[in-house]
Amino acid sequence: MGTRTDPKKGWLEERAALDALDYPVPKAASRWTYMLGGLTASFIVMLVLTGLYLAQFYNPSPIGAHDSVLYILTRAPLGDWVRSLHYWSAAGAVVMITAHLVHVFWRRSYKRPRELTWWAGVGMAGLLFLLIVTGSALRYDQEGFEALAHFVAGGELTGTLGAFFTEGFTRSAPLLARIFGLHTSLLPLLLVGLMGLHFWLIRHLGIHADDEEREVFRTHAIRLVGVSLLAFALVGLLAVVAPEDLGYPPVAGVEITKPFWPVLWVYGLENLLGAWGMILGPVLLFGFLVAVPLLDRRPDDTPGRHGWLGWLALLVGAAVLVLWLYGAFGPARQHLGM
Amino acid sequence: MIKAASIRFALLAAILPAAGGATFPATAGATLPSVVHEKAVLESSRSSVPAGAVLPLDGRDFGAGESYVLRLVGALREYDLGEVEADAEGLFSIELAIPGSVTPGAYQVVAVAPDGDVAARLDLTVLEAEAVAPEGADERPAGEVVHEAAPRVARADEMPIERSRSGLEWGVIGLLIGGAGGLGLGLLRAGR
Repeated sequence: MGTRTDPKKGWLEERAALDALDYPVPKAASRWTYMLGGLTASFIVMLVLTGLYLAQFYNPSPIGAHDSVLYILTRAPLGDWVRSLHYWSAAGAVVMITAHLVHVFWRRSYKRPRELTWWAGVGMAGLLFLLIVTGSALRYDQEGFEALAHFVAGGELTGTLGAFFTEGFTRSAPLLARIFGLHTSLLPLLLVGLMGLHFWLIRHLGIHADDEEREVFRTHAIRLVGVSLLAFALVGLLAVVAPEDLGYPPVAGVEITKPFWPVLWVYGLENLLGAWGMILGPVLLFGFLVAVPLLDRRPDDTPGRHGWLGWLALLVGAAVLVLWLYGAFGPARQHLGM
Repeated sequence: MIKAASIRFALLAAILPAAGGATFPATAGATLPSVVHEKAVLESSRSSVPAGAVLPLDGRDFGAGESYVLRLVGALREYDLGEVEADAEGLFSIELAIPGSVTPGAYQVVAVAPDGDVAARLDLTVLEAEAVAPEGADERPAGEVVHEAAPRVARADEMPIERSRSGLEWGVIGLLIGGAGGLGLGLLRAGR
């Protein structure tokens, strides 16, 4: 029995089964606020592609790392631009995932049956946070070295749990090489896995929107790809006009730099609590986000009607903002007993 | 296969920044791994030496009686280490002085044949002179001046970096940004 073909379909349409994308979704999916998650995914794709390129030139040994970053900046073809693209894509992903989390929280889209979707999203946010701090260490300038020292200090503070991050974990590979491995293999794999789960759940549970109007997913996907390409053009321009810099080779025993801006709120907390701040801050914030579906006991899912949970979220958000401002504009302090 | 590799090297050489500072004397391809030609072997009992110290270096399977230029090649810097001549059996054994002016980092000792091909390579880590002075001191020839690097001061500011792009790189960037922007707008219109 031969395969039935449809002469009306295009070559690619038939072979790639593109009509599988023609399932109905709420028209609201193409509103800007509902595209924040898709845009986060697009920035992650940019991060993977630029990261793959950078990894061809990066040397994850302490003795060669800084020189290899300088090599990327000055000699690798398009290296300076691709590295800046990587930086701006990371910044874009952080902005988009934060806005997406706030929007989803506001709409109370984490309510039954979408708890898993929310947790997968929070997991991705946590992984992005870890990717940012591991990526910062790879610079291996003064800022990168201090980030690495924070891993060591955090590892020592948390005992067995954090043993991986201590220099004593193994003598066969330097910590920088292991952080590079985390940044380029384990964390991206987990991120892509959670992204797959997130998308699968959205496909089958649908998005939480009031819109009765429907359109086919393909139309939404075309818009999302269009917006993503515009986002790429924007970060591409930013990478030209505001390229990412590199500090001087590191000197051990001092702490004089501040971290990449998404981590500044943790830095502010460290100013108050010392090294424990880097553990407590992320644990409390992500712990709160994980607990959100369990704390919201109201039976309805009307957007904005969180009750006391809304006030608690506002308090958490305000605390992060104040800590961020303190980290950004407060004094640079030594947090570790280096 | 060699032809394909040469074309690839030529393409890479074309888009490498002209002001990249590559001073390697051989062909553009020689700065990239060229395993086809590397039949000779460089060996040392040490994988790291302090700047200003001496590296025991043995060579085998080199061309009998041929001279080779030895260079210390890092990601950003290159240093001349002099010449060496293989004996009738293609062997040599020397004490190679690593200049005190070498910036610490990851390097390769590279032996370049008279025809410009890379004959052999050896990975080498050059350490700061003062950091390992007691150990390295035993291996320095008598009377040699030890290079004492000034202690580095931690700096929180950014390095001044000379960014330069070739015309081709600007073209690729412009094409990608312009193409993405144009296609993005087109798709948004098509999706209306």
